[in-house]
Amino acid sequence: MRNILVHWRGIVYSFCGVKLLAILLLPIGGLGEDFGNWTLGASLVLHTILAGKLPALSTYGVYIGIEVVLMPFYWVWTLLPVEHPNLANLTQHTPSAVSLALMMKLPILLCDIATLILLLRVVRRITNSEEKSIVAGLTWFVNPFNFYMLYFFGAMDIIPIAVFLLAISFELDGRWFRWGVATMLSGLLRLFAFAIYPFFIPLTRTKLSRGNFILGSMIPLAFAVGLLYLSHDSLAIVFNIPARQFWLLEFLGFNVLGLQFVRLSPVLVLFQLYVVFRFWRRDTNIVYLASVSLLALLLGATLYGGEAQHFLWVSPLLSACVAMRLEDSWVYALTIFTALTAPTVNPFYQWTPSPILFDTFLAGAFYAMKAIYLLKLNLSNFQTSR
Amino acid sequence: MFLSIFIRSRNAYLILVCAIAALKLVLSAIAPASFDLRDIIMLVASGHAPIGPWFALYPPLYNQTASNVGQLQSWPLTASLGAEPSITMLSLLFRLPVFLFDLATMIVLICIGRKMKSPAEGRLMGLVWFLNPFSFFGVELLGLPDVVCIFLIALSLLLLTSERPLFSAATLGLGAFVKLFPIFLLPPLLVYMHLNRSPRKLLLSATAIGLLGFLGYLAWVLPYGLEYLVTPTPVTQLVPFVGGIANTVNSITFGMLAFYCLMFIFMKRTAPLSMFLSTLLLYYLLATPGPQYLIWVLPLIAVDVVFADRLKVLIVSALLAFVFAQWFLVSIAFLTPSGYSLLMFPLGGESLPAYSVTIGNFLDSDLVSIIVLPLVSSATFAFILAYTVDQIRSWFSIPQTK
Repeated sequence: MRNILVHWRGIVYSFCGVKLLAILLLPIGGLGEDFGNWTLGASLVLHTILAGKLPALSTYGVYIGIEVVLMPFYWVWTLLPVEHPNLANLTQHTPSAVSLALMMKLPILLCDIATLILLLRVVRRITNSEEKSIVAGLTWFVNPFNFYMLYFFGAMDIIPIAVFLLAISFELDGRWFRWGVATMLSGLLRLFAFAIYPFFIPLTRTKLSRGNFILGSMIPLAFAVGLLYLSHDSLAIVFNIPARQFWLLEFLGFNVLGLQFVRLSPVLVLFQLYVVFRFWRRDTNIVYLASVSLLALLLGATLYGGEAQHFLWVSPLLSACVAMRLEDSWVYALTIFTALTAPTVNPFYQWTPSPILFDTFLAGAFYAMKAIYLLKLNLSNFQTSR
Repeated sequence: MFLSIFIRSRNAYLILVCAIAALKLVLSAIAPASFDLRDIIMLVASGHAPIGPWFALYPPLYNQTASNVGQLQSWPLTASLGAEPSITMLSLLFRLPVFLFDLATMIVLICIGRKMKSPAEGRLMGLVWFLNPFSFFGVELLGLPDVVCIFLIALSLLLLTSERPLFSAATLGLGAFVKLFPIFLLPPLLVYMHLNRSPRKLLLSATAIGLLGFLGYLAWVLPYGLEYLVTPTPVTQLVPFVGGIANTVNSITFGMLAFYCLMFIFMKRTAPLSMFLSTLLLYYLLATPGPQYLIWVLPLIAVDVVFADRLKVLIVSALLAFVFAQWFLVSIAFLTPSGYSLLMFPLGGESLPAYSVTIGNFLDSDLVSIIVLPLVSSATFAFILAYTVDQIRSWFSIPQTK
């Protein structure tokens, strides 16, 4: 173990090489389809801008933020001295395809590295331990689940995740305004961060911190509203998004006790909020708060706690958690293992003898481990005495 | 801060209560009839005697002659605001009995507060109930006859805090005679007596008296067959305690029995309020009735919130806000048979004002049905769950957050 920690830089550099190689060698889209969707979205945003218009929410839906971030990378690809065929006609492993994969997966690699650096910084700030920060960084960077989700599946969630970790880093530095800006920005890019907002209340202990956090949060929001107005979209369109992108409603989860309107996800998140306010130590840190809020959300959302790709949001936070509490490493290892074998991730799933049997077992095991981790984090943060 | 003037001075408090009462009576006179009131009118007009809790709305002051039966039936279709004097009088008379129970509940709460700490606390408890828009909407405007049981439950708590458990059991029995839910408080009462080392004879007497009320309930329910026992009905029980789908676990039977056993095993302190409150909250969660039925626990909440810490006050405030919003959404802005809202604005008919059209469009939109209502309903459920757990934790004396 100590040997690994001593040579952590070498391990990170080696894995950077492996990841770069994976980008170049893997076919576009890898085993998942998400990468293709993001590339298409970025190309459409570019065409809209070149036509002299602003990309509208009514056209691109909730993923507009990430697609705008990806657009410059696609634009650079269009400037490269290679052929630029229609995306549907792109042949794998040609210079066009390889260069497109490189450009479009570059933000993933950059944000992956940024997440590593931020994790090192966050854990060192909390624990004052170089060793623990390296554990957090390595469990993130050499994690097979993250590797699969980022480089095979092409999960662009890593962009808002990196922004969210930046927000955590700002909070630890006492930079409340920037903390607010980064949290809201992360939420606008992907909705997850909004579920975490109420959990940040215990951290805003003074009027100054509260005021700055709220003010900071308002800046990206005002910017987004301004863009909405300029692109001739209305609030009605914003409100109509869940009806059009109906899969967003899966985040609400199943009905509780058969009640028509009572959904599991908001119930779990709010109940977790109560547990935090009533039973948790006051000196807890932002990493634990963000972890339990996201775990509660994932437990409530859709069947067996949602798509495994959403687990990517909790993954860096759990890396930090395991570094802070090494005695929980068995829970961490089992959680990551079950995440890897979850039906939507497991690459060998299609060859399993009985998909129905394995589907329910593996998904159930993943769900159980997330629940156990949530329980573990709660127990370790409970007050011990009056 | 403003209310503290009225709570400290008895005379100022009396003036405030009189002012609220006058306002409630005026609004009771001019508000349109709700669907609940229409149902009781149909029952009275068809010559049937009111059953169960509905007797509270029976208009004893209104002379039911052949000539005014027509007027009785036309009232629900009238937007009472500015209607003819006889309709206004009819509206007031129908709502007068429930108003009296509302007032009586407030008086009982004042007595509970005085018994538990001081007259000032009692006055505050009374105001939390009487000034609460939730109780005004539920009792006077909607005409929920459950206020009879609510009054009896509050009275039962008062008798229990006065160390009169036998009378407390009798009032619970009386409540169960009217509607089923007060019977669920009998086991906590018996646990309380057991923990207080009451003689076995007294325990048996309390059980017998409580069950007598339940037998009375069966006496008026059984002539209708098993309908009121195994099917959900707002008259008696919203989700049946027994019955349901064959060979499946009835969630209320399971939940309540398990809860009683846990209470018996773990309860270490004799705290009648938290025992009553947690039992009713759990029943509310399991029975999952409409938002208006949260009024069952409102007097107990009024007692609890006066002694509560800041977090609990926040939970209760959030709970009441969300449940009121849920009620607004599911009842289509408190729509009445006349097409008017209980908030006195039109929602149906021709030439509607612009704000009515906006509210109507909002309530009809996908946004409400697929996002707002699930979020509001889920938040209500979560806060009730949190409040229930917060009550239960007081059994064990779990340390509080500093």
